[in-house]
Amino acid sequence: MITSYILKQTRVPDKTETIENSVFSHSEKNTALILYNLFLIVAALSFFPVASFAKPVSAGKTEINIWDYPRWLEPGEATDRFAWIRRQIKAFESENPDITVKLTELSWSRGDEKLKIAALGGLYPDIAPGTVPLLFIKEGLIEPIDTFLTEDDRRDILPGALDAFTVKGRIYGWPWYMGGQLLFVNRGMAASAGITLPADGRWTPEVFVETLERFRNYLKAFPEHYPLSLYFQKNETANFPFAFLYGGDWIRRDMSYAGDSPETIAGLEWMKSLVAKGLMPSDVGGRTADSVWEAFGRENRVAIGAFGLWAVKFLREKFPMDFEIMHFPAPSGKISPAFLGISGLWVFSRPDRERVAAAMKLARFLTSSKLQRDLVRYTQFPTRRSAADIYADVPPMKRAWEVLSEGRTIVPDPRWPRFDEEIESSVQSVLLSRVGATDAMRLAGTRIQAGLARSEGSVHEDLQKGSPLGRIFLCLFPLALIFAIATRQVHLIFLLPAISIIGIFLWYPLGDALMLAFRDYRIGAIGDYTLGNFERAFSDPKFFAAMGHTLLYTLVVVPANVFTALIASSMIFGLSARAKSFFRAMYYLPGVASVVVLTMVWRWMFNGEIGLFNATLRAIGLPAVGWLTNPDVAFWSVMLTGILRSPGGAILIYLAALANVPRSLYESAELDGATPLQQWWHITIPLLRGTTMFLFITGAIDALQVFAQVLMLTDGGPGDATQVVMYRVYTSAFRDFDFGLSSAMALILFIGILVVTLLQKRFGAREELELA
Amino acid sequence: MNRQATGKIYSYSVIFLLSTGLFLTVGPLVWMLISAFTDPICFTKDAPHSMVFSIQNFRVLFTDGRILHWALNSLFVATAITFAQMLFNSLAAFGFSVGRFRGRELLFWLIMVGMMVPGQIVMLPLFLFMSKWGLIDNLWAVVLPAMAAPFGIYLIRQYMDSIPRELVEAARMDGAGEFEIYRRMFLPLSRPILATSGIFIFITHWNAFLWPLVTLTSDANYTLTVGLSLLQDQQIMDYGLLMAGATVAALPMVVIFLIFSRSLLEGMRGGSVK
Repeated sequence: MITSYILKQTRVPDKTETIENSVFSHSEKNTALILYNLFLIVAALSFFPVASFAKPVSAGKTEINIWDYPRWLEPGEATDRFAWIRRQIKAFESENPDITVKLTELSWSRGDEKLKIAALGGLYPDIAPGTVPLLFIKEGLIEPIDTFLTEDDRRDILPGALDAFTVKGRIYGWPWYMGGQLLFVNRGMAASAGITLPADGRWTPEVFVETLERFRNYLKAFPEHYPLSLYFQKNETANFPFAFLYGGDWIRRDMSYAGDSPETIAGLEWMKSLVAKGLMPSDVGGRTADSVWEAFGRENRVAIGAFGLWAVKFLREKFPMDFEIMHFPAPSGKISPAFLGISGLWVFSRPDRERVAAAMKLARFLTSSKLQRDLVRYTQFPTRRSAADIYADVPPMKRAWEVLSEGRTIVPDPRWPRFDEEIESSVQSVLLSRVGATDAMRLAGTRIQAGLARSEGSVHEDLQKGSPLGRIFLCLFPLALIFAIATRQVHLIFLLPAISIIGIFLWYPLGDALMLAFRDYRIGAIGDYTLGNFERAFSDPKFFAAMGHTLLYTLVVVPANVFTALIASSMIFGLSARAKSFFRAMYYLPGVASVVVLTMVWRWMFNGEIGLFNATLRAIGLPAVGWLTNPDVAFWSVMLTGILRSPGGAILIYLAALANVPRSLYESAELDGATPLQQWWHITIPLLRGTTMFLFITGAIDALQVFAQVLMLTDGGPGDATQVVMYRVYTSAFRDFDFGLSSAMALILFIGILVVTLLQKRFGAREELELA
Repeated sequence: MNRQATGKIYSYSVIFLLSTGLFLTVGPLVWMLISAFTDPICFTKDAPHSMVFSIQNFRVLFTDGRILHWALNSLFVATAITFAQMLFNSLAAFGFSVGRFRGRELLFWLIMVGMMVPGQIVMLPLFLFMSKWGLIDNLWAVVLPAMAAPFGIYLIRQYMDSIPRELVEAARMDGAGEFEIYRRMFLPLSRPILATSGIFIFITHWNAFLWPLVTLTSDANYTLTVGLSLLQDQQIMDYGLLMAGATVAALPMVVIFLIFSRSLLEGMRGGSVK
């Protein structure tokens, strides 16, 4: 009886104690008073941003919105990478007093997703930057610029640049700048190794490998130095020319898959042989662009690497290096072209023609020859002939231009990001020797081909219609109010505000999302009710990998967290009051920092080249670990961040439960001669069972939803090594636009969470029974 | 060995173990501070692996005057949500705790299911909803969906359930209406849990990232977390500057926590969960 009473206290506070605390204890009252006053002050202060909400738009003016990414730092600017465009917008506004322009700043990491979500929601801007927006063109959202293009423009803009924005004979964007991926060689290192590079910048695979071998012999003396490092990663085309060395390709222009062609396989096998010869690091398949860049540009641990044109700027200013730009190796008489990226400004269509015309005017102004001359600070090539001479006095840019003028672009298809993910993770697995090249590329092929055969359709219009179910649902709230009043259920009225909010902002969208799980809802296929999404989810090896990892994460991290909390709280409990409150507070402290912040710090510590861990390992003479790049280690690194997430909350709950264990039990045990450890094992742990169970269940619910760490630490890679379910849910919706599949996977996860919760109810109930 | 010596060894080793654990969990935050205050030159190859104290990162950060503006936006969002939640959560908790109507537990359970829904799932439908109401790029789009939360209702209801029903009966005898019982009796009695949950709601929404990122589109309306994500360059991470930004985002919460930690943690114990 007593035990049951006490155990219940672990969940519900002692009645009398509660009331005493809040009614009679002055200190408690004062704290609350201070809190309320603080909040009042804060509330008063925060009226400032509220006031700035409404900006009046004066009549007769056309307002247009432009979204842009952070660009270069203008001289004299410390952090503002939008200063240039802001200045140009001002100049444009003073030239065109009837147009006002609003700028939205995007971030490189999440800007693309933000733009997609906004476009789907019908809230797209007037102008956005980027490579040809195939997805939006397919959805019919982009205005062709043909009629706005003058003869002079057509003559001035490079034909290749116009081609890049041409889809089915119409031009969908104002070409702005042109960049591409180049092969960089550390010339200083070559000189010390006694290597002379081919003067014309071209080399055959044989010469290339010979050069690498000479680098290897020179670099032998330095640990973790490599002649060459590559990276195959989503959205990165820098190293494709290596795979296409013998004339291979992923997808040909006629949209046929060529990833398993003998030419491509030969290229992949060639790359694998470089790893086998020790010319590349063994974990090269897991390396990311920034880790390779740090190894090459900052740490000078790699002699040769492929990077975008931006590296020219960094190697001349921030990390000065004597470098050479080379062509990608290719058998003699052939070329393995570098990949070009041509960015422009696109204008979204809308019925308001005046607004479209104004947007065209601004887009043309920003991509004019005069403003393209400023690209010299961005180290990108202009797309207009009349601005082509801006790099006349920069020698590396000449070679860069020579390489890029032979360049090519990726296949223009809106589904490319999905294919890209498939291909890159297969290549990662091949380079890591997890799977044979032919098998991996054939498997990727079957899945890409399934995606290639698709019909036409438009997602955004259908999405914006909303569901009739939702409208009926929204009518329920006034009805509930009437019902409450009619039946004199006054307490229902108390519930109404909270229920309305949770209903409108949680149940309603949740219902909407779950409906999608049973519909075919992706680019090119809308509307049919089907169970195909579940079929596709369960036949997707990535999803299986994700489920496996999520389970592993839950099974490792949750027990680790609960047990450390149990041990820590048992130790804290016996301390003096002061030490107790110190440790209690300090263990809780990291919990107040956001996951975003903590993950940023972890990523910095895991950094392969200059991060805390590897720097320490190197300092004490141990080999560095590919924390996030080695597929065998990466997921354990992710779990490590979960395990070392402070168990502060669990410690609090345990301490509360420990306080309710009656002293008398220990006293009698001590009389019987039990050691403290025995007391802990035989009294404390069994009595805390209910609390432990509770912590396991709530921890599992959290752990099954693990997402932010993965997104920010590894982006699901290398290969499939760190895929988790929430990551698949998020990326299939906002990167692949496959909302049906995304919702189906979310539903599967949700059912899993529900099962765990029901287990809690079950166990909770049994515990009550036992104790009664 | 005598008993006293064993006790001493025991308590020293406990302190040692606890401190080691603390080192591991608080370590990342400390490293963040150290990196933020390290001179940017130490991240270049001119002075590799050295540590020179400097506030250069913060100077760079604060030359951008918008940081303060973003912080004020975060302050508004977090404050508005905190007040709304304290009000609506406590009203609902009172309804669930005192009300005797059919389907009460079913309704309560339905709300609790909301705790299990990962936020990313409802993001797109919610975005469409907000855009229909013209709330995109408006701080209220961040505030509205968070004005009541299942977890808060659960926490406060647990607390209110422990208030003796005799008090309610007595108040009703004296002719008090239900709202009066809520305002005059339950609200003051629940103060500790309200204060505690209030602070934690504030911290959670100060830290929110994904939803504000999606809904806010102009830099005048960005919150601090969203604004700081703009500091990243396209290709190269300036870790020193990033860590300075992370420090600016985390520090106010750490300070609030340290000031109120005593009453907060006591209050949490009273609420008994998390």
